[in-house]
Amino acid sequence: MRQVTWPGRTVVTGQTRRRWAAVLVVVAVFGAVPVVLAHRPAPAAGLAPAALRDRITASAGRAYHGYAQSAGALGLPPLSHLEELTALVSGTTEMRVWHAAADRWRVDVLGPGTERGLYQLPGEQYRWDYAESQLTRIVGEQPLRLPQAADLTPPELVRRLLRLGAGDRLEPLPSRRVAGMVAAGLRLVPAAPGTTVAHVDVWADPASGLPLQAELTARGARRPVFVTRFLELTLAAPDPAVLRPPGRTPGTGFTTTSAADVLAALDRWDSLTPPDRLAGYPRRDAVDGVSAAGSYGAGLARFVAVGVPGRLGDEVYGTAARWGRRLTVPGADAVLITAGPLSLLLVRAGPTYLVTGLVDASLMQRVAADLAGAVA
Amino acid sequence: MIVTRDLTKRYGRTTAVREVGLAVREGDRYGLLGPNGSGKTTLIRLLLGLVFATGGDIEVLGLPVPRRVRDVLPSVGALVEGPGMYPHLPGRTNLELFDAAGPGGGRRDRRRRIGEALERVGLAGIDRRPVRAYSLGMRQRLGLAAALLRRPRLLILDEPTNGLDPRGIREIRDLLTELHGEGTTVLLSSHLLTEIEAFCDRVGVMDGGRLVLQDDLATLRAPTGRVVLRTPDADRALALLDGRVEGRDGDRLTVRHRAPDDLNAELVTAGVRVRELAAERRSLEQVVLDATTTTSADRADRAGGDPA
Amino acid sequence: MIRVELAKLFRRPRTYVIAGLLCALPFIVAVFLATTRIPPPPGQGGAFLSAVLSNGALYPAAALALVLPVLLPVSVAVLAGDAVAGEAAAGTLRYLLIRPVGRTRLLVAKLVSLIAFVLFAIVTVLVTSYLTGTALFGAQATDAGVTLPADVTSLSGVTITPAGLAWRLLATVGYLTISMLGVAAIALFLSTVTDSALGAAMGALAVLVVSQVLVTLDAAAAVRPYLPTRYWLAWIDFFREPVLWRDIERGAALQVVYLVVLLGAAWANFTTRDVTT
Repeated sequence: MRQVTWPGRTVVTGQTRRRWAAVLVVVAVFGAVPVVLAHRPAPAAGLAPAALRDRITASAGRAYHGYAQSAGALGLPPLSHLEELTALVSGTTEMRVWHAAADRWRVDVLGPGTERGLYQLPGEQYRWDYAESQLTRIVGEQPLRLPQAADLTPPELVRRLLRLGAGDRLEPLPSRRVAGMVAAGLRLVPAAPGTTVAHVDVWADPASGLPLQAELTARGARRPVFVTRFLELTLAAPDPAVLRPPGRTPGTGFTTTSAADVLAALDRWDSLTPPDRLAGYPRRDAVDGVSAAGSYGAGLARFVAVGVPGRLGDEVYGTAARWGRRLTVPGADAVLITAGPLSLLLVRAGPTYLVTGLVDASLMQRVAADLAGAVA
Repeated sequence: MIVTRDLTKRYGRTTAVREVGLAVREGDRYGLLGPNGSGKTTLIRLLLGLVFATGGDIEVLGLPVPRRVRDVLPSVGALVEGPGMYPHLPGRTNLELFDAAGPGGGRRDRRRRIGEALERVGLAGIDRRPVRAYSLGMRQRLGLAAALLRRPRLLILDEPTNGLDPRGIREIRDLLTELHGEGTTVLLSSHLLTEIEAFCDRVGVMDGGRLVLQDDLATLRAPTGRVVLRTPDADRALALLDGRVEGRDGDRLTVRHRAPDDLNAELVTAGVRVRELAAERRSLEQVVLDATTTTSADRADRAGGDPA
Repeated sequence: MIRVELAKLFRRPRTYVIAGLLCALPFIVAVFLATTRIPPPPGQGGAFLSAVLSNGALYPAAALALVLPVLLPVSVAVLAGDAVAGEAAAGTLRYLLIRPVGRTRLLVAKLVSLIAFVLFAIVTVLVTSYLTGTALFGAQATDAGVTLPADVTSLSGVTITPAGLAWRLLATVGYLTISMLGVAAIALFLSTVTDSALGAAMGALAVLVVSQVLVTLDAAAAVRPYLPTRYWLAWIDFFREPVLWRDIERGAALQVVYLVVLLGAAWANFTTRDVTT
């Protein structure tokens, strides 16, 4: 005998309304709490951009630990042998960071049900991969290697970008709350010709100078294309036990290597040294004493060229050709992938060259022509 | 015991109960009579605080419902629209659970009270079978036992004899009479005239959501002021009672006369043989039909534009 | 009333059937894994599944990862959806209410019995999967004569001691129970709205499916922290070293918010609703 129609007004309707009103108030309060917390006004730091930059540069020795998240919207396709790298700039990376000193830190990249840890010790690194159940000891310095998640924590990325854009214009930005701290802001506007970066916004703890957030915005874009920030941060030295790499256990694999990744392995081919000049810029070794990679350009418009040998080069070129745009260059095959502000150029002219940087397509066109010409 | 004033309950656009003024007095054996869909069950649900009125007041055991319904219900035992039991559990366990669920069911004498209640309804011998395996009649008795567990002052029973055989109906009626004798007020609803007539001393008739009639059965069935007479000497009687005879059907005469004994003396004195002689009384059926016919006509009038 | 609800829960064969189903899934998976010895690729399939072949003691964690995404929430939704609507359909709701049982008390008792069910089910899964795991994937005996499983490796590569594993599993039981509060509250609320137990369960499951889809959708990132299933996997963080509390705390807080709001809605709706069945 269930009535399908709603009853009209009854003697308890008033009570019903009061109760629903109470429930709605509770919903409103719960809904408002995170919004209010996120939009609390942040008092101005009263710190000039240049002074803030100096503090950031000076914060390199600070110990801290926390939880950081980087999110890229570059949409870079997964290139063979470079999947880890392309995922870093095309998706969200969750990281736990413990930083005691420049040669004593640990960064864990968290995934659903997995974890990859990188432990930096003086002179060596340990890399733990839960999915592979593999512990890798990497001995010796790694002068040349691919960017990794640990490079994308706000302190590391901000210091690198500020170093690159040393001469560029700085503008003040209003403060904001990052990881519960009031962070002072500055904006770096690059001046270098050929750059695709409109501006880099940085927020840092005004007291310690530790960078808390960075946002990179491409030319012509309204929203940042890459963001890295702390969600939780403690400005204190981490527990030393946390920094101790895991020991070898019977169930897990263990290897020792001196080359951390594919790029480090390339260092062995001296014959693939990139040309001395590209697009009018002289080559500077990306890392002193390592000639396999060359760095060119100025400021944020700096780009890197690497020679990739034989079959490996063909493979990388093959996957890139599926995604990228063919450039017409006399005497060579060239493919350009543009992902937001990032350009990735592959030129096959005998050896394969990979060129990448936050530079525009016209600069890359000239680079491609120069590379083809240099080999010919 | 129960008083309602202008009690109205609407479900959307249908009005299930309309301006009902129910009055059940302490010690009543009240029969709520009406066809299916006349609003009896909704009225009972209103009294128990299961549904909430659109308008009007309810008072049960002197307390307002639904505001103080929690203080009222412990003294009320009820059977609403058939028994509701957990089918996978035995009857005894069902009673234990229901007894433990609310106030006033002491733990120590629970077993004893359940035993007594089961005995009263004739289920003393039930085994550990789950209720699922019970017959409809057994379930009905079990539901009645649940209503009796805590010796209620007021019993509200909606169609309590559903599914029972004639002997069972009789047993239940005897049980109710016994309970009433112990001081329990009983409100019994049924669509069966005979059941109400057999047990109740006060009747309310519902039709189309209205309480169209409410009175003591004795009043309803009071003598009509006429006497029914059967005699082989009908013609002589007719001549004798000239002017007072209101109808004749063969040897059966209906005479307007207040006292059958006087009439009898008069007839016998005149030498008229009397085969049967009785004061005329209306049957309950007649009463109900009279009451409900009027409302039926009323409903037809309103059918086009029900203001509800 | 709570005691009555618990009695009803544990006297009902259905409870054991559902718990048995929950235990059956990990058992079946374990049998296949043990006979074929083909682990799923790491990072795919259930969490910890790739690790259990060498490590039977970790199987309870893998078993929880197996039942968490579908079976457990479905059973909670079914039971919670049935909580009030089922009583209404069986005709027992009206007798409870005129007993009288306060409507608010009834809701609270229903919720407590649901929590009891989740705890019971998870603990059953833990125990059976521990037995399955150690029996099928091996254990080692210590000098004390006690049979202990091989050392368990955390996600961070550090070995977890048996005591550490025990408290982590217990914490996981607690967290999963809290995670199910949201589902239970949604289904319980719907159960007070409709008299169809199936409808209430389906409604709650629909909410969960939508939530699960939105969690993986980057375009819905703005609402992600508010989704009821957002932090369901956070219990895995118990097996990191050190334990990552961030998502666990947020997950627990979110579930409590869902519980308060929906239980409040159920209360507002049910306490003044007509009971016509």
